[in-house]
Amino acid sequence: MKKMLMGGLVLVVMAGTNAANAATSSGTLTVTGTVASSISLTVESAGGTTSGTGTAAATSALGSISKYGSAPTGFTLARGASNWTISSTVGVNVDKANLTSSDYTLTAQLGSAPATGIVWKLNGSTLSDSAATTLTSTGTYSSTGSYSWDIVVADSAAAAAIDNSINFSATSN
Amino acid sequence: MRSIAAVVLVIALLSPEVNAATRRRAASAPIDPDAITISFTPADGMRTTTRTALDVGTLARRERARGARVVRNVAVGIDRISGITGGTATLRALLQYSDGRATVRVNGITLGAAPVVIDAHAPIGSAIVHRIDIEVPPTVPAGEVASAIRWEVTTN
Repeated sequence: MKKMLMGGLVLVVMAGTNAANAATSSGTLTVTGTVASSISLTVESAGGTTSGTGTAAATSALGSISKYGSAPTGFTLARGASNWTISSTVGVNVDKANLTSSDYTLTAQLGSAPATGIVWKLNGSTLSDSAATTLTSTGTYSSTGSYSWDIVVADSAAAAAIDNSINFSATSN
Repeated sequence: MRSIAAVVLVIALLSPEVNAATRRRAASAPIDPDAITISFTPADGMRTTTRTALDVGTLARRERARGARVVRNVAVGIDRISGITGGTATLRALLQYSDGRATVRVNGITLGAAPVVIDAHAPIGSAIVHRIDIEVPPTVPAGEVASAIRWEVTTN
């Protein structure tokens, strides 16, 4: 019984020695910052051969289009008496963060004036490069909105590139 | 007799001789050669960072899958007061204060009220850069965020 007690005492002394040798120190680093409200817009889908969907800078290539040819990928083609129309949709998503807004207004505007005889439409409204067209004033956050997209080509339009860009803009309400 | 004793006592306290003696005793106190200090230095050129405060500026969400996020690097220096280098220490960190609006990580380790080991073998006598990551969920309203990270170091 005496031996057992002695062993216990030795262990305690060793533990005390280790604790005494360890030096400690501490410091506090205060971290501050300011959270800003933000919204983000992404083009989720579009007719044509697309790239960059899911980002704010998507591209759609239609290739060569003609009244009596086939419709580009993801488009339908409708021939009229004096014009023809290719139709598809554009999916636009708007997310919010650190913001109490319940919905948003989405507008679209062409990046440059369309070629003569070419009309660009979204949601049935003709787009221009001089003023923004409102697509919705009650957009739902985090839900991809689908907007009809038409390009109307007059039979009288010159055979040339129709390149353009559609600039979307979302504003929280 | 009482009034005389009081006067003598006041003179003794104000005496420059006595104060000098006190200073001499303090100066001659032995320095623990193993005593260590911890210091912080901004490692990414933040002008607003001081040795004890880090202002990360404006946080805004940039990635859809995450909240507003900012990452800053801070060099944590562990030194012996004696200037002797060598050996290692265990560096731990915890959230001493949090307004509950942000998640704070150091080197990817989320901090909470309990200390977690950041570096089990931090070299004494040099500063190691650690990555501080502040993330605010999208549901948190805009405004100020504040946290205080307590760093604890123990020699190995």
